[in-house]
Amino acid sequence: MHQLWWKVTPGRSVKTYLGVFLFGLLSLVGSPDRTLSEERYPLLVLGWLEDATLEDVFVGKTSLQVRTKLDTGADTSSLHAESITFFERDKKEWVRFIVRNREGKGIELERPVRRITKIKRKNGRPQSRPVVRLKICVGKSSEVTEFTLVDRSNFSTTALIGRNFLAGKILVDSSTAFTSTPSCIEDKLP
Amino acid sequence: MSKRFLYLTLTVTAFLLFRGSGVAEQLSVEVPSENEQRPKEVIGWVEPLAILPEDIRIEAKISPSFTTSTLHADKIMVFRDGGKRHVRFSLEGRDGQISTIERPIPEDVSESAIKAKKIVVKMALCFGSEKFEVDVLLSDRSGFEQEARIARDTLSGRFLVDPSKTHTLRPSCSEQGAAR
Repeated sequence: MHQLWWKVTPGRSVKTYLGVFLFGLLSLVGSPDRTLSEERYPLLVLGWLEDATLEDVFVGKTSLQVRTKLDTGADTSSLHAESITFFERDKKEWVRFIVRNREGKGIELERPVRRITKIKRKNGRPQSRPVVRLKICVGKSSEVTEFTLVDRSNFSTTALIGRNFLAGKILVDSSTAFTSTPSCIEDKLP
Repeated sequence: MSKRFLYLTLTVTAFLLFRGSGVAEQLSVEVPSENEQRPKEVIGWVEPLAILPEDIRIEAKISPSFTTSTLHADKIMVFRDGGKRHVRFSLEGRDGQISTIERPIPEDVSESAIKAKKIVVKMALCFGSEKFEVDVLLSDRSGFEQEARIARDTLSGRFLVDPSKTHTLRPSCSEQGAAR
């Protein structure tokens, strides 16, 4: 058995195998973790209607799921809320309100009032509405976002996500709807 | 463990690493699926457009959450010319100049729609260097910043909207703009 140690199989040497192995290792270095379609549109592409979850609002063990419209024409986001009541806590202004999930179940929430905004109405006086912060997840993006609490009972969706969430994260494709399931990962792997 | 087995393992590992990295995807040719035809252009949420053939410069709010595109129209007048219905209206462009625009009213617009001031006409609009024929509802947009609202009917299959950008287009359509 005086075979040269690097000739293990006929026609193949250790060098070949090592070379292949190194090639595999090297292909890890400097390889982007994005596919071609993600290269083309670096931001996430979503439809004009999507499912979203309010991450810090729970119905049992799961986050509250709402239908949302992605409105590039809106500065800020808004949320349909009922029974809006103001109260004071720790010398600050708070608001108590009810949000309904897709099954129509009402969840009562309390949040500090960030500010009061005036909603322009087409006919009539401007209305004052409270603005609160809620963490919303749509597609794979989640962020604590300002929502104006409004009466959206005339509209088909509970929430409306505006540029304050969308800008820099999402491109809207108006030819599709409900393209995603909200799936936001809290801690990203390094 | 035999040397052959070891090297086979190394090769398989190398192959898996190669596939797992982005390199394989980068090297392969992406064949568009049936749904994804040509890549769509990305535009902002407000864009300058030109009404053709008059070349009237306007601004449009790009609104994928709306179904129909609208255009501000003042002093709307419906009249008949050679048995066909036409509409004449005024529009103040971006430069403050007031233009009078005339367009034929499509056959499928009912008399009751006209009475209810819900007139939809075909307008040729210039988006960047491309011309599209768009159905627009003539409406009162006097409370709004932009003269037009471009909605899903126009955007679908052609544009994606980037809510972080505005004025990405510069209307520059030649006489025979490409129609899509």
